Amino acid sequence: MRRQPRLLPAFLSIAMGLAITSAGWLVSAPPAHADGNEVEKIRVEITDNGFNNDPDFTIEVAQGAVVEITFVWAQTMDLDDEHVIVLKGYGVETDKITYFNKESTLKFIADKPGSFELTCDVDCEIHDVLRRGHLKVGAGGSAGSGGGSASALTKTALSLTPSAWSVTSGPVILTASLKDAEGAGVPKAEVRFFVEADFAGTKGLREVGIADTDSTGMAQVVFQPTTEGTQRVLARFEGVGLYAESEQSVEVEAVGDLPTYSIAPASLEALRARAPFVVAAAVLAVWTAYGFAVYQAIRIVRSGSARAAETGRKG
Amino acid sequence: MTTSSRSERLEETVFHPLRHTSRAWYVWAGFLAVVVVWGIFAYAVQLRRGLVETGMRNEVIWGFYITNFVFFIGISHAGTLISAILRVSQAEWRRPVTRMAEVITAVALMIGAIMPMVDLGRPDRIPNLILHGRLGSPVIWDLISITTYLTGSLIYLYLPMIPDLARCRDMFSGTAHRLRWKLYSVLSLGWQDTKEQRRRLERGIGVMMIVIIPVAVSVHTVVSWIFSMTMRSGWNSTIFGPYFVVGAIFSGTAGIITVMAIFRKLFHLEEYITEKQFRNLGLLLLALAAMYFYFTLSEYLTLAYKEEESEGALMRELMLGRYALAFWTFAIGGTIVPALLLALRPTRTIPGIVVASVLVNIGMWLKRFVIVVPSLGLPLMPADWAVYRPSWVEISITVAAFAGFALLFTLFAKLFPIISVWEVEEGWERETAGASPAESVPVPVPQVAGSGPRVPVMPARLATESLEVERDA
Repeated sequence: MRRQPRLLPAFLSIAMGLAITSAGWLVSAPPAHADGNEVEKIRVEITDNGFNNDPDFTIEVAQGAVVEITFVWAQTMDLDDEHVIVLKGYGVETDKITYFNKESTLKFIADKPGSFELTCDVDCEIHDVLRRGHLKVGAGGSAGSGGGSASALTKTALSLTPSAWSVTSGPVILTASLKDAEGAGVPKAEVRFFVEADFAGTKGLREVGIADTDSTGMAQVVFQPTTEGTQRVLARFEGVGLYAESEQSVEVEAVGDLPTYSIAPASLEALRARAPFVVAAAVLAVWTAYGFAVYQAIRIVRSGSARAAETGRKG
Repeated sequence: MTTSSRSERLEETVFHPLRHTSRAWYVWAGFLAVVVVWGIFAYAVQLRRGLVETGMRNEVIWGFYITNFVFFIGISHAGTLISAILRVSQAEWRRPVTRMAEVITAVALMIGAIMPMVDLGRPDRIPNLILHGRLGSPVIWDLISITTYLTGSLIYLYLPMIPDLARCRDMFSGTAHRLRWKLYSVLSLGWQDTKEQRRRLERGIGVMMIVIIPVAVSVHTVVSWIFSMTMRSGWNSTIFGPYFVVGAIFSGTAGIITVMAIFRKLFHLEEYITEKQFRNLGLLLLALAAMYFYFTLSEYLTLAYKEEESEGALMRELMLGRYALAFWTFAIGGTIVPALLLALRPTRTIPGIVVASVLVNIGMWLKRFVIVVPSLGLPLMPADWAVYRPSWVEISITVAAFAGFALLFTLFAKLFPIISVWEVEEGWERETAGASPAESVPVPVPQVAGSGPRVPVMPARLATESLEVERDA
């Protein structure tokens, strides 16, 4: 007989073994991010007793991990309550979570090590138990904090458009549009606006204003030029969550009768309100001292009268 | 000479004007009264016809009246400096001049406080300052600080007078001057120089001499703020507070030297107000002249260097224009010449010091004029400089103000001892105790509890009398 029939079971065994191993590997491997980083998916319930029924709730993740935390409404009381969960230090926050909008997800790269507060940002009914959550990012995670996380970020593009390219005296509206790599607007992103300024001979950026993007990724500030000539205006998004930073600058021509400054100086009203009390206290202190001196004079009369009466009695 | 005989002579000299009134006094007081009445008449004219009778118009809204106001508030600092500061620092030579200094303060404040009321034109609106005044206004600050200072100065003048008033009471007891005896009896508060009374008096003076110093500084600072809180060229300055305070002490010191010289001559006080008082106050005046010169240089040099449009115009008008005479008379005649007279040994004599102080007083009045008027005359719109020429009404009221100052002083000196007798005697006692302790009578030196400054003590003579009364009792 030929040996061929014996090879088949062996081949099948090897093939099956490989298939089982591959399947096992496939099954056991964590879900990977599109760029090759690990995505740590965490599901957290918002219950009457806090996050996952734990008032001192803590999540631990490795530094560099791409983290996706989904908060899910699980409250049984106060059904008209609402929550916006923020992760302090990372600048990310959920959409409003309510009985009707039960889920919202935070997605970010845990690139900063340390302990960060996870808290509800609105004055909800269970606020006491929703302000004690923490995210602990352990140093030295598998992905690292350098290139790995950077490669995981979604690229953004910021475009800046002024309402007018040439300003005569009034203000100009600066509109920034922040979009992700797929051209979708990035909402709730903080955009800062600057103008190049001269600080006693040194060039630098003077902040004009800060605005958050709306649901379409648009943010606006009003800018009042104060010096004549070409002004370089810059909008900057410093990156948040999975979104990478981006910026753009444009030039605006300012001519005509410009106001001296656009940012009003800080009000001294608080000091002014207190000043009369301080002055009144000082004046009162002085008059009290006068009163003391006059009182001494009155006592001179009394002691003189007492002395005279005593002398009279003895006489 | 024994302390007792010195005291008797001191009493005789100081109390003599209280007992005897010469024809010359009546003539002098009458003359001053006539000038004051003339001033009142001028004010009546102003009141009837309005401020149009003055040289003040829409642009120059402050003239002689506010110049006088700043001047009188300035010299009122004499009392604080001579009396309070020297008392706190235990300068022994102060004793014969403290009373005069305190009177200058009280009288100058009374005259000075009247000036803004005269300037108002409509005195019926004065209650509006209190009824509708805003705490944010420097005018209200001025009202509060001057009222506080005047009250404090009167208390501070009165308290150290009590032992001397008791002597006046005793002196006029059983004489035909019943009314005056009654006055002294009431004002002396039944002073019998008991331990308790001494303790009370020391406490009162001790508190007042400390409190009155910051109050005095605050008053002239607030006066300066009336100017410097505005955006006007020449007034818009950050150093006006200390500048005015130094100027006030400068003119106040000159004022006390002038008054000292007059009373020394008229009341024959040469034995008590000696060259020492003039020399020390003269050196103080020299130091203040240097400080005031420094402030003036700092103020005007920065204005002239920057020569900002309106300030440059103001500087040209002050240095070379229509106010140049007043400005340079102040700068040279009121600061540099007095400083030279005081600095050079041959001229640092009593006449030299008195001449220097009179020059300082004239110079400082002119200085206040060149602060007040030119800044208001400076046009704020395209227009010519506003001209201010004081009218006969303003000149009359100004002369009457000075006459009123002199008249109040004259009346005070007629009714009350112009030298603090008990304080001078106390100084002698201390001097004697320090020179030969074995020979001197031990003087109890009461102290205020705590570690604060030493306060004046009663003379041994009063203390001895007190003991005698106790023995008799």
